[in-house]
Amino acid sequence: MALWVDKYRPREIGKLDYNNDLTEVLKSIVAREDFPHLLVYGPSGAGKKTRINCILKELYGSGVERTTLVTKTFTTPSNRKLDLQTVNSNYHIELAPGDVGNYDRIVVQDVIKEMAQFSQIDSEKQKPFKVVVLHEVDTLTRDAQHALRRTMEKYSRTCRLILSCESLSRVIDPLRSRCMAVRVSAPPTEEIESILERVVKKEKYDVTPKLLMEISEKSYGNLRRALLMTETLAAREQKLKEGMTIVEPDWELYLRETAGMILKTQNNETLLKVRERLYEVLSRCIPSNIIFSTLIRELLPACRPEAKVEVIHLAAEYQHRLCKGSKAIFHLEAFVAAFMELYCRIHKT
Amino acid sequence: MNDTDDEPVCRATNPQKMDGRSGRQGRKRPAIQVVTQNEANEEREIPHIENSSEDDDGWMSVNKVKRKLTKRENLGKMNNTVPVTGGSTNGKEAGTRNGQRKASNSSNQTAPSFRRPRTPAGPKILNLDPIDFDKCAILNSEQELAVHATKVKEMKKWLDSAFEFDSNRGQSKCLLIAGPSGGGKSTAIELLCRLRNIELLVWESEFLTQLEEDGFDSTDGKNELEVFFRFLRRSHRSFTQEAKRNTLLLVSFLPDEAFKNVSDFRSQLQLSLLSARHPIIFCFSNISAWEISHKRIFTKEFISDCQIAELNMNACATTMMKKAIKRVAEKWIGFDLPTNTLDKVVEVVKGDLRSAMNILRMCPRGDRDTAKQLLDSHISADQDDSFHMMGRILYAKRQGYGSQDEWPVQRPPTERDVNQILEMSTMTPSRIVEFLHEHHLAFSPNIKSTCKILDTISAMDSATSYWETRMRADDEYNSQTVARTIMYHNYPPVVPRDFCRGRLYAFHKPKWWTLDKEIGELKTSLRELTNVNERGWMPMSMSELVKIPHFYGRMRCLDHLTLQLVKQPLRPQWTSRNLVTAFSSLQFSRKQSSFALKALERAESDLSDEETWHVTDSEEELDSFDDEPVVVVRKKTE
Repeated sequence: MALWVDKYRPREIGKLDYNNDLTEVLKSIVAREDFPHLLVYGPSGAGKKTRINCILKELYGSGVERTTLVTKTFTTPSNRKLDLQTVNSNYHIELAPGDVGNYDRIVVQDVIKEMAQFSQIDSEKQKPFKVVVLHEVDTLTRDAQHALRRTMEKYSRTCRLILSCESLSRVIDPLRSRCMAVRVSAPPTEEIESILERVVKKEKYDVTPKLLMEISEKSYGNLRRALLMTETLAAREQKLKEGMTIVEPDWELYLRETAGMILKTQNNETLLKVRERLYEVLSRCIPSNIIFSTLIRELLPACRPEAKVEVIHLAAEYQHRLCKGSKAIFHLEAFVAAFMELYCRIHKT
Repeated sequence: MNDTDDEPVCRATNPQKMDGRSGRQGRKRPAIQVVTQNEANEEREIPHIENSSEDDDGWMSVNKVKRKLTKRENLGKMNNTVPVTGGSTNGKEAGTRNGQRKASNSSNQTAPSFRRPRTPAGPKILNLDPIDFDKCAILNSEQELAVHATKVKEMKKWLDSAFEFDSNRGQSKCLLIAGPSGGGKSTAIELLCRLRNIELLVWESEFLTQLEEDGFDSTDGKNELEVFFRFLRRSHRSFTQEAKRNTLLLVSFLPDEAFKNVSDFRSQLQLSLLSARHPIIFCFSNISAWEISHKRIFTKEFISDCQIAELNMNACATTMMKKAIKRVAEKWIGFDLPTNTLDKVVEVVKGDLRSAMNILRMCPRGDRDTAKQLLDSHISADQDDSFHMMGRILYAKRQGYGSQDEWPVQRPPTERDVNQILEMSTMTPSRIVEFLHEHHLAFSPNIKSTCKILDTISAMDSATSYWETRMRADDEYNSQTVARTIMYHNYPPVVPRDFCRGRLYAFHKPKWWTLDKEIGELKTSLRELTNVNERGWMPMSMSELVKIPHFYGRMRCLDHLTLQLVKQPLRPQWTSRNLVTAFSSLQFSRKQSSFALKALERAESDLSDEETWHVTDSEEELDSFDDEPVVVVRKKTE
């Protein structure tokens, strides 16, 4: 049985819910002969993957939905074996090369070469190219991105790329200029509400609009999250009533608690405790960017107006460093320390 | 007279009378080594000096050589033949040098820049040592080289092509070898030349001191360059009987002057290379200082312009290093080294074969236990050193001030020099930073200093990491900056809280190491659960997903440990999954014994209550400083 998130995912371009302008653009791109390389970006839970799948279906028909999970093995020049999971169909291949670390360059080149070597069997009826979907391109090393750029030009006749990432900041300029950038923005709260309502009705649950509003507000524009939260609620009780406590993810509560600690006392001992708590959150694979934004969301309201600008400035600075650096804890902790110092300075004088 | 039994410092044989190979062995060894051996071994000094006065152009006086030494030390690390410290370490793995002659100057030859040292013809002086270390370390076959086989092959290929007279028109006659020091670069060249009966002429800068004595004014450095280029261009005919022996020039460091005007030097060098009569090998160690780095002169463009062949070497691989150490240890100590000692030696030297040989050199002969003890103490001293290094940085003691003193506003100078402190241990700079990050909080006086310190650590991490450029900013910059920031901001120095409570401060490894590894493991096991791309949100929403019944079934494929972790609520403190395992196994045996029950209760309350850290050997508190980093266990305070 599938989760609601998967079950009610739109499969065709015509059935996409929000971002109607974008949908029109996508339709026209697919209809044309010449399909460009795409770079799809936007926040998590906004529907990037859904749109990519819709585009693929529009290009190749339902055959593209018959996928297999294949573990590919790559060999590095130093004879190390790397395993990477890919999703394959006759028409496309999907992979996230970011987590092979420094060897991503080899992976990217090998996959595209392999795809480009075999052209479509029936090129009369079908599109003359295949598609390589690369997820999380922003985690690729610069080296790999440059390699990608070269390979992209070389095999552009038989192979198109769809890249997806959350932010463009870590994608190199030459790569950006070779692709058509498509921004998928997060759905507004009302859209989320209406989608939730439709889903809940189809699942035959009772629900009050107020609860839906509450859920959509707490999902921070992340549709996947909204659906998951609703499903968790539904799993507990048949009737979705007003006043039910919405189960927030425990790591969020945990971070809220941590923020409370930071606001209460600002000294080295607290920082040591906060460090331990950050370790714990990180150990659950919560992405460090999300930890940052959650912390800021909790800390900001407690600050005086004149401090707010500075806090945001600090957060931006350290998050940027985190993107460039390798050890998340250094930057998270540095932010917390800087915040404590600032808070002491402004609130206690 | 048997040449192999000769004391290497004072040769008495005449090369003319010997066959090719022993003739080369009979040649004098580098003057530099003579000095260090003198310092190391005072008994040898006398014969050596006598020797040098006997044969003027064969030997330099000790004074001259010492001057040369300081001269070469000015070049920094550029040339690794410079002995590092004291007498015990000999700059080169000397035994392998036998196949080469030194080019240095002498007044009675046409070119003042280099000379062919004649072996002194005085009476043979008796050996003090029946066999010396360098003999043990000498290589006899290609198989014994601690260099990767493909690199050796490439080197051989170049050597072959360089000496082919017919077909080498388009072939480059110049090779640039670069790699970390102690990787076996020059050893490989020397051995291959020896096996191929090629004469190796090595560039030395000792002529300069000689020139000064002869009245030349070398302050402008022009002479040095001139002599250098003459060395490259000139035809060196062999004086030995075999007139047809091939000659190869080896340059392992460049004159100082070269770095003052790089473009001039380059154009001159290009001309010299065009008119060179012998093949030339440039062999440089990678060094971090850009000013004197060979990369400054040998740019990619220059290399392709001059058609220089390039060969990049890596640091000595662990297996090869082990083999080499074993081989030498067998000959030198006379016994096999225990495996764990061997492993540790390999770890300490970090791919530098030369320093491994230097460590071995200190061992007494024929005594396995003493050798093992010596080696172990050498290694553990290194661990101790890193422990003390951390202490010195974190405490940041100031000159003339005890802990009770009134602290002046202006910071007094620190008790020790930062550079010296950082050189105390062999830890890599990024490790040092990790350790400092883990521990600096307890030593920082207030949140303001902490903020500054953490800011530096964070900035350094982002400046030295991989993404922007694959070539990272120099790591050493990282540790230097962080250490200095900490020493500056830990003022006035504070005593860690644990001390005030009468306990020792627990010095443990950075938790980030284990954490980072575990995050990786968790990600891999979660990936089993989902398709590509869903990894990112998977762990985030895991806590919600657990509550959806039909999804829980899908999670069966997760391994037991991951499932445990996912289900567990977040705790106030991060503990390694190893502890989680212990925890779950305790739960399993709960029914089996009351002891386990108690243990479990303790473990559970540990996880929830506020906890404190204890040092395991807290009974004898002061002793623990001399041990390895103290192991910490959790105990509940009553």
